[in-house]
Amino acid sequence: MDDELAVKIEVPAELKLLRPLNLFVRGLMEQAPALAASEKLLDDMELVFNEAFMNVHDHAYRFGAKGRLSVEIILRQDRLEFRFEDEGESFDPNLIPPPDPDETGERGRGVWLMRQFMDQFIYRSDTNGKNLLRLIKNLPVPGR
Amino acid sequence: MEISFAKRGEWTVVTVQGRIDTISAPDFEKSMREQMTQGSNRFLVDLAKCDYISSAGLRCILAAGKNAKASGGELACCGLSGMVKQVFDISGFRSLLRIFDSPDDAAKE
Repeated sequence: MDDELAVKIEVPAELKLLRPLNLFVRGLMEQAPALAASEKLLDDMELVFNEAFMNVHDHAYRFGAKGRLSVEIILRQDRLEFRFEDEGESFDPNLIPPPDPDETGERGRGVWLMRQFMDQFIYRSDTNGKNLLRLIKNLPVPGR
Repeated sequence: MEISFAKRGEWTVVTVQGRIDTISAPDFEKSMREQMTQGSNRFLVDLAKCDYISSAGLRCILAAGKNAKASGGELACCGLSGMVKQVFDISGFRSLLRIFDSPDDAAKE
């Protein structure tokens, strides 16, 4: 693959787009040798993409507003980054606790899963009402 | 996702093939509700042929487990492998639900 492959798409945060986006992103990720070589890693990264999309759908636009979502995928041989930008409700990821083994609450696991599977989870909410979530995974480079 | 049900001793074995995610979770919930309406409340969800689960999938399994428990039953899982096993581990599901290796393993108890 080239040094860097970056694709930015803007979509409505609607559930019906999740499956086609998953397929598109998976195909894109297969351009990186480390990801193409591991179904498991592809599944993990697809899960993270899925959770981040659903986070915007379920929480940022939870009051039914059909908001826009900008998704950027930046792929290098040694690194994958997802950038999700929305204009919905912001949240403080630091207030989301890890799953409590004794607590059978059904929510809050998405952010935890993203944090566990990625090397960096960076969330920023600016004064113009835009929220940006950056999810970064360092990829193993064969022969290095 | 394909879902099928079979009786095995006390258990209703729920075999899930494919993915349990945001899209398929409502189908899983609906099928489980129908089974409960028919009187089943002891479920063994066999995930050996399930290759992908998201937090929405975890949520619907947990919800079905709560419903089973509320009616005096139980929901357990078996056949975890790959990313499904890792997601279960990371999410602390092993302490919420009983996990067996296989339906054979569960049938022995």
